[in-house]
Amino acid sequence: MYGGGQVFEPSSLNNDLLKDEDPKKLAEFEARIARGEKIEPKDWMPKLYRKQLIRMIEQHAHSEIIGSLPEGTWITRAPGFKRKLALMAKVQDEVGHAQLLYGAAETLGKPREQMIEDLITGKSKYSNIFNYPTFTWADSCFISWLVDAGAIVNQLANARGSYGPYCRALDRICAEESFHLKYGHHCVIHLATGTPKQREMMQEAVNRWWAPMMHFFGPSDKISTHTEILTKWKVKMATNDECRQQFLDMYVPKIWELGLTIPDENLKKNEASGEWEFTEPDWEEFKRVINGDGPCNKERIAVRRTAEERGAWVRRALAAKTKGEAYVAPMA
Amino acid sequence: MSEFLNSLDPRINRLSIPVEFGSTFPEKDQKDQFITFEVFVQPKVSKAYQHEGIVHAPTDEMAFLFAKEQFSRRGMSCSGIWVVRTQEIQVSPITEDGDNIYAYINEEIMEGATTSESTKYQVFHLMKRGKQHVHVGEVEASSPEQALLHAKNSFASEKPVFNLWIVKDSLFMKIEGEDFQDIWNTLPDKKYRDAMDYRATEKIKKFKAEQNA
Repeated sequence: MYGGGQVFEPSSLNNDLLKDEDPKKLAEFEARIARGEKIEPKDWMPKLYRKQLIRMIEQHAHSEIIGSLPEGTWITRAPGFKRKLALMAKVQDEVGHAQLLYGAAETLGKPREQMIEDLITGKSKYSNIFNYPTFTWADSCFISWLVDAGAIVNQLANARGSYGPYCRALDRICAEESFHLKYGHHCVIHLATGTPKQREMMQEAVNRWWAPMMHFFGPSDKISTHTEILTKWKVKMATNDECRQQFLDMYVPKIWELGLTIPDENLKKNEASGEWEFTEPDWEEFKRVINGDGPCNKERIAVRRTAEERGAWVRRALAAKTKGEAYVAPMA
Repeated sequence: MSEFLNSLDPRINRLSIPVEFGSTFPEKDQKDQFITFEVFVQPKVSKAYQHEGIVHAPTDEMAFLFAKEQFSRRGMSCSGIWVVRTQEIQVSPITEDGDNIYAYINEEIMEGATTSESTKYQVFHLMKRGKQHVHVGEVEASSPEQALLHAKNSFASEKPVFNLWIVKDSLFMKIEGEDFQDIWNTLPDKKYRDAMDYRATEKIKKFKAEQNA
C-alpha cells in the first residue's frame, strides 16, 4: 500500500458544484451517510462527492503504480533469493492494488484509460514521495517498512469512508498489508542490527527519507467549509496532521529502538499534550517537487509513458477480439 | 549529454527512453481500452461464489488469467473463479430503507418480456450496502424477467435483499471443479508472502540487550 495522505486539489474544485443540487436528494444522501450506510455506484450522489472521490481514488491508484517503481528497481539486486521472492510478491501486490483502485474509481464513471492518460500527461498527481530515488537497498527497505506504514495509517482511516466500492478495495488491500509491513520491518532490523557498514547504510537511508516522509501526509489542513463537507460525507476521514501524529506515535519509538537516529533535533513527544513536536517540514520544497521539479518526476512519468506506448500494439492486436463491444462502467 | 534517460535503475536504462518522454504526451489516435469483466470467486468448495471486482481483458480466457492473479493470488485456498462480461449482468434497482427488492417483483414484470428457449440463470443477492453480491443459486427461465420471478419463489426470505444480479449461465467462463484444482494447490506453500514468516521480536530483544550490556 502506498497511497499518500495528501490529496492534491486544483483550486477550481470548490463548493460551487453544490449550488444546484436538489436539496431533497442531498438531504437523503446525507442522512444515509449519517446512518453509517455505504453509498453504491447507482445511488444518487452530489457532483462534488463524485468528483472528489474520483480524484482521491485515482491519485491513490497512481501512487500504487508509480510507487512500485522505486522498489521494483531493487528486485534484481535484492540480497539473496528469499528477499527477491518477497520483494517481487510485494511489488506485485502494489500493482494489483492499483488495479483494484482503478476499478473502484471506474464505477464513478471515469474510464481507466482516461485515468492513465491523466497520469502520463501530468494532469493528475500521485504521492510525492515517489519522486525521490532509491540509491541503495536500504532505501527500498525504508519504503517497504515506513512509507507503507504511513500509507496504512491513512488507508485504515479511509476504509471507514462512505463509498462502498472504495471501502471494499481498501479492505482487500489492507488484508495484504500486514505482510508488507512485517517484511519491511524485518529488512530494516536486519540492516540496523548488522555490521557497522549495514548500520551506516540504513542510517543514511533514514536521513535521506525523513523529510519526504514528513511531507507524505501533506501540509496542515486548512479548515474550510470544503473540508467540513468532505468530512461530513465521510470522504475525508482524518486530517493530515492527525495521520502524521499517529504515524510518529507508532513508528518513531520503533525506529529509535533499533539504535537509529532521526535527522530532526526538535523531534520529541510533548508528554503533557501527547503530541509530537518537530521542525516544520520545508513546504516550499514539497510544492516544488509536486509541480514537477523533483529528482525523479520525469523518469517516473517517462517509464509509464513508455509502458503505455510500447504496449499499444499488443492491446491493439488483442482488442481486435472484442471489436464492436462498447466499454461499460463496471458494476461494483 | 545522453539523449536517453539516465536512471539509477539498470533496467530502465536498457529501455533507452528518450529524454523528452517525461515532458510531453501526444494525443492517442483511438481509445484502446479493453472491456471489463466482473469476477466471482469461490474461496472453498463449501462456500458460495462472491463478487470480488473487475478486470479489463480482451477475451474470457485472459479475463480468467487476470482474475486469477488479482483475486486468488492471496489467501490460503481457492476452489473456483467465474468471469462474465460486465454488460451481460442484469441489475435490479437498489432499494431504499430496508425494502426487499423481491417485494417489487411480480407477474407485471413479464409484460413486454421477450421470451426464448428456457435456459439456466445464476442469481446473486446484495444483503447489505457496502458488502459484495453473493451467489445464491440458479433458476431455469425463458427470459431474465421470468428468472427474476423464479428467483423470488426460490430465494426470497424474511431478510431483505437490496439488489439482485441475474446472469445467463452460458455467458460465464467457469474455471472450477477437480480438473482445475492444481491451479491453486501451491497457495499455502508461498510462506514468503505471509506476515508470519517475518518474526523478529527475538532479534530486537537480543540487539537491545547487547546495547545495554
